[in-house]
Amino acid sequence: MVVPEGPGGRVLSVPGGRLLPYGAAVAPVALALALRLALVSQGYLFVFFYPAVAAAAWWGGVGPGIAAAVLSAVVVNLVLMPPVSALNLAPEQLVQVGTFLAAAGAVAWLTGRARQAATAAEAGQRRLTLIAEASALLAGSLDYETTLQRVVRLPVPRLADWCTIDLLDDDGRVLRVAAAHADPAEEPRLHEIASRYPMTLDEPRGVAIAVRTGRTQLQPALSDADLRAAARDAEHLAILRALGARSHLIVPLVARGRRLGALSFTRGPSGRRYAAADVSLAESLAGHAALAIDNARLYRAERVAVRARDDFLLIAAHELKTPITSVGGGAQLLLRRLRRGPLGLDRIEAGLAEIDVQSQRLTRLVEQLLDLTRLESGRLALEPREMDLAAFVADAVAARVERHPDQPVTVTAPEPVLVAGDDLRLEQVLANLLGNAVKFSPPGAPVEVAVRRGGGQAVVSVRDRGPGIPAEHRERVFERFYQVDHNRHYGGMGIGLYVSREIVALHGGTIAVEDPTDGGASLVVRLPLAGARPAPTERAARG
Amino acid sequence: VADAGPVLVVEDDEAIAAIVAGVLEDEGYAVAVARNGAEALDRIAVRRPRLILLDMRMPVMNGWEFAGAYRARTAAPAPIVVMTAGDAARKASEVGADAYLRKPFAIDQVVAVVARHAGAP
Repeated sequence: MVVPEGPGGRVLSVPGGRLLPYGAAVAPVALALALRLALVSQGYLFVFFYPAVAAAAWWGGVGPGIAAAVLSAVVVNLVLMPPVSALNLAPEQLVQVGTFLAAAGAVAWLTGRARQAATAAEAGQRRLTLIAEASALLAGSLDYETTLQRVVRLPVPRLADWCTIDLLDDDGRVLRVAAAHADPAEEPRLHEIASRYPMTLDEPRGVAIAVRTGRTQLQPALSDADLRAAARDAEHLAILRALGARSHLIVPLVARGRRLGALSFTRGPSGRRYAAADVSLAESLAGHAALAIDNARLYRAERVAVRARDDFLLIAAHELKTPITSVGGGAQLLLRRLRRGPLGLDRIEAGLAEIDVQSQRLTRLVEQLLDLTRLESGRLALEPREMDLAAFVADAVAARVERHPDQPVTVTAPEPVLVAGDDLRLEQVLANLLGNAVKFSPPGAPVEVAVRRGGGQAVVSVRDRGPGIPAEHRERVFERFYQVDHNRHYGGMGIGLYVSREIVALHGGTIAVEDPTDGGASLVVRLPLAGARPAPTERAARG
Repeated sequence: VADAGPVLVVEDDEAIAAIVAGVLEDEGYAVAVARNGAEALDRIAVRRPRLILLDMRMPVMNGWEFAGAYRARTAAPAPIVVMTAGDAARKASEVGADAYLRKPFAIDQVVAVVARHAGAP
């Protein structure tokens, strides 16, 4: 626990509250005296006062109990012992009073302690009940939303007038994900205030401090000055005042060593104030809650991953069926024609060549799937060697243009650019980028490839004149299984760019979509340079 | 059936389009090929087909969009046979097709379904 930070942190002491039980000890003593005088005329000097001492100790504690014992002794001596109205200090009387004081003191002590134990047991029971309820409730669901709702509702109203959960997102923002109020009509206000006045992690406010430091923040008494200090503007202050927080207890949510956010307990004007004794219960609850939230998050992420994989399997199956249809259909067409009558050798050769092309396409798709599996299991190993990227790209493009004369590609690679690269893998990246660019190019518009040095890196850009990539897709095109539009089919399984990015990353490089101002899309690969040493001989040998 | 029109093959995969067109031409049908829905609408504007073999996932204008646009502008649409992988029956019913060919299909199936819905060549 931490002594409260910030403007809200003052421990309130209540001197009047401590003296009250002592004053109240007078009442049972007075009652005992009245009963003694009314019921008995002689003797029974002390009997009536033991219950009075016990009562004072039960309600007020050991101290007020002893005070009642002393008061009783004085009253008996003054009022009941002859001579009345004077202190009797005869040895016999002193022994009587002393004996009473010793016995009554013991009664006060025992009764006070018994009451303490009973109170502690009751509180412990309540805590156990709450914790047991919490673990049962939170273990009951893996659904993220359900878990948040259960966590936030659990402490209300027993431990808080309202309770909120704020979680840290990947961008360092603190987002309110759940809120519960003893008065449900107030709940929208709890959400509204968080969305209108969003919190960041570096703020000097309770939730941010708790998440940042990982330590519980206790603010037993919030004053209007604290609200003014927390408010960003007049309207914010108005909402804070309307909510009427009086006491705050904010516990960080930590699971697997990671800070997820904070669970905030608040009490309004009518409620008790939080004290140090509340901290451990709140922390136990938060511990259970953090675990449940973490589990629900993991489960949700797992389900999203499984769904993405299922979608991908459908697409992959679909994608494989196209060349399978062509291979089978091509062979069937050739057979059908052969059975109908004599067929020229040239037509047979053309038919077989087409079947061969389609079976290669099938092989490439299967290779892609295998690459994906290798990447996922970290088994894709590079065999890098020093190479001139400029000559390499120029050669690869030239070979592609020879294979597909109808798909024009231009290369600008004026000077050698040395990198340490795996030529087979880089060829694969280039083929993916070129295939992608060609796919989206309008007929006849050449794809432009450039290799240069820039910013201390080797830079390869592949630029097409197609429709471009909308801003919201630019990051996502490199995601696994990603396709801009599944039903608007441009071919491919949505893993070419993902595999390319991973291969480039294994080379220590990056790949990004850049946005040419005059239309189209440009995919830019940056690789570390192998060194400043130029290698004109290699360039000459290859070029 | 003097001028029944061609069988229109709408398919973005060139190899599949060539095979389907080849087998139908061997059977004696006139065949036209379009690489996507938009091209198909252009061809239909010139000449009414007797049957449309329709791939679903295509660039520019996919099978769903084509079927909607085609029905909207044609009083007496030609029968449509969907050619697709996966849940072909569902996709066929989504676009109100008369029949479907599930990829990978055998070319005998192509001949049979065209004969059934478009008649003899």
